[in-house]
Amino acid sequence: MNGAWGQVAGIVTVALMLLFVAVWVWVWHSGHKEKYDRLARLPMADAEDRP
Amino acid sequence: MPNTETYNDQVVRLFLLAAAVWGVVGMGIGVFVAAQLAWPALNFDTSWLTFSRLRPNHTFGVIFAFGGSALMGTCYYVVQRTGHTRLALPRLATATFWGWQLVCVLAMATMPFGITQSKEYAEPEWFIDILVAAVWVSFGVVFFATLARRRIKHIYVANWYYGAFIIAVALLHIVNNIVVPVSLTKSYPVYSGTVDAMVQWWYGHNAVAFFLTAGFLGMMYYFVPRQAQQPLWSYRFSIVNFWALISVYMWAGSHHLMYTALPDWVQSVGMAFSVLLLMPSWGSAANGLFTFNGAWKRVANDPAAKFMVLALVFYAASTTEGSTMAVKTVNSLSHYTDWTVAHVHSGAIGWVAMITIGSLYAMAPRALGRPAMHSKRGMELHFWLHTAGLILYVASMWTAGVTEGLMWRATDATGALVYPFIDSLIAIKPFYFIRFLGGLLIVGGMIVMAWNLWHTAADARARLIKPIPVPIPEPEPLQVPAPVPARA
Amino acid sequence: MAGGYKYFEAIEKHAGKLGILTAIMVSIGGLAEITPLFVEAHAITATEGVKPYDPLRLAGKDIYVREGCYLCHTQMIRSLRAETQRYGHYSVSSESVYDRPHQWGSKRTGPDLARVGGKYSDEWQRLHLMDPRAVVAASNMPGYPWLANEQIDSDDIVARMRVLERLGDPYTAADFAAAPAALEGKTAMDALVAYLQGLGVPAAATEPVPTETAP
Repeated sequence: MNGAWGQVAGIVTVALMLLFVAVWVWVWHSGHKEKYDRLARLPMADAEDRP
Repeated sequence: MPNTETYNDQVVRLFLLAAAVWGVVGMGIGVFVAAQLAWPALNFDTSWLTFSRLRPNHTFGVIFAFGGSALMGTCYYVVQRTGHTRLALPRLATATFWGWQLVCVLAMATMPFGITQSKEYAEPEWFIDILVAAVWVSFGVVFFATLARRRIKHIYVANWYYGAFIIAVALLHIVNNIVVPVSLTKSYPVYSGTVDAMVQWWYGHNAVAFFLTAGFLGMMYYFVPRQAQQPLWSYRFSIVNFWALISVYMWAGSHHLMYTALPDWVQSVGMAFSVLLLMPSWGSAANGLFTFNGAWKRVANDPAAKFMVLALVFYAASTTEGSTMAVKTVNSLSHYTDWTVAHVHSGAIGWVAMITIGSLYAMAPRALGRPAMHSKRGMELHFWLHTAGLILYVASMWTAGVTEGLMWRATDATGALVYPFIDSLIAIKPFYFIRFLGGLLIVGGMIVMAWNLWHTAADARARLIKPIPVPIPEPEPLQVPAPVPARA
Repeated sequence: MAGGYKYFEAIEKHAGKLGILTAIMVSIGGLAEITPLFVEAHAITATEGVKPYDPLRLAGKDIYVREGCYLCHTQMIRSLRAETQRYGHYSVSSESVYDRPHQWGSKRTGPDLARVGGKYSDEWQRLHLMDPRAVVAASNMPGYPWLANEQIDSDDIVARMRVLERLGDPYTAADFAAAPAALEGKTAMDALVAYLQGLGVPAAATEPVPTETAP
């Protein structure tokens, strides 16, 4: 691997890592727990299982 | 407003039937080739019955015919249910069914006769590859067009996984199969040597990632909450895991080529990302397992849920094993041995087959208009046959693999090799027999499932099924703007 | 922080955006690893002595590929001491530049074949392919007796060489001219044996005996 490619790959890796941590932090602290809990009920919102 | 829109379960039923048939066929061929490794005379000196010609039929039959049919069927089922809408483009959807079956039959009928690219897990020749691409793009069009007409604004996470599975598999299939045909039955890849090896394992590894993992996780994220009868343990966690899984997996392919002529840095990158992969893998497994929290009593009494729980356990176990095997020092022992075969099958028989079987048992009664599967005892029997077969298979091949690895590297005090190659084969022959027995049990279970589905489908065969109405208009707390009214 | 939700909503509520972002994320890894290999591939030239397959060996290689030998035999000696002791010098990139597809393999139900050329006689190879247990009693390899009855079609092989030439393999006009004579009366068995006997031979003749192996 030549030097320049290594630099690019390194920067991309670090950027991806930061992006990922950001997604994580954001998903947990955005105060949307309630909203997510309702979203998780989506598969249940189906007429078939209702009496 | 009268509600006249119903779910299109016709195409789902077709795929369900195909999955049951291909499951028996693909795994049956697996047992036959396993028997050939124990008793080589079983090829009867006939070219198309020979192990090396038939093994691709086993892998293609199980992965693409059985797994593919199950994935496409459940995908069509789930995208309708989570979007509260009927499948878009019904004719194209039915065409994807017949197209995919044609692909499977053509592939299975050409490979034993030497019409093969001989690229591992991408064996069918170029004319079948073109058909695969056409069917796959149609599948994607139906899926995304259905998403586009959904009535629930949020796209449920199971669809994210199905979407990633469709996009990535299209990309992998096309890049890996760029060839120049010599004739209808022979082609040469544009890549050669090292580049071909890297492209091949980028494909091979990510076929595992996106076909055998992302697709089946889509299945898991819908059918596990349904069967547990409670929502996913953590929806947020499933989102984080999605982005982690799809961005990390693609990097890890080079762990199939450790200590080879592939440049060192690519091997090291592959190893590092393979270890990183533990995070999203365990994340999804934990999320699925915790979803059963508080419902364990029901699980004990529900064979479909039992299949799902064991599938998740094996998902966690085989991804852990995979990451371990991607560490260079472990890989130096495990690679080229039956340990790899054990690993693949703990993923395939443990994770993939079990989540599929669990989901099929959960889906079949609904799609077939029955309150439950025909025989619960049949499901129980299938569960125990499958589990026993899985354990026999994995334990015997793991032992065989470690034995081979150790014998190949054993040296005496003078530094000379202790064993000729043939000694390692003699040492593991008993394990090939045990593996054959394990395979027999698994196929036995699949036959029980096919029988059970056949009887469950009695109403469907008699055309007595009433289509299930789409719940519209359904007041959804999150829906802005208001739901679209039903189409007449 | 909560305000950021609208950006995320843009993804989770729009199938198109979700699809495009997914495609980008899945592409990065593959591009990062494969692009440099393509760049380097131009720099890899065949080792001295590694030439494009002559017509008979090409026919043999394609039989090897067709029969699926790669499912049980590797052609990749790893840079590990036990492997170089058993099979010879570790394999290098330049040795497989003419292999389409590569035959590195992934499983050794039988031994590695990267340097099997010349280890056994032609007659041994022939007998072994006809009935493996006639020469190795404990072997579990299937017999391939039909190869002995299959004639090689020289027109087909020449057509294959033309395609390979288009893909960059340096075949000369003389190679094409000599092909029909070289393939005259040959069976698939002859071709496969010729291929096996050539495996690793040119490289072995020019490369030094390995003294150092990877840790």
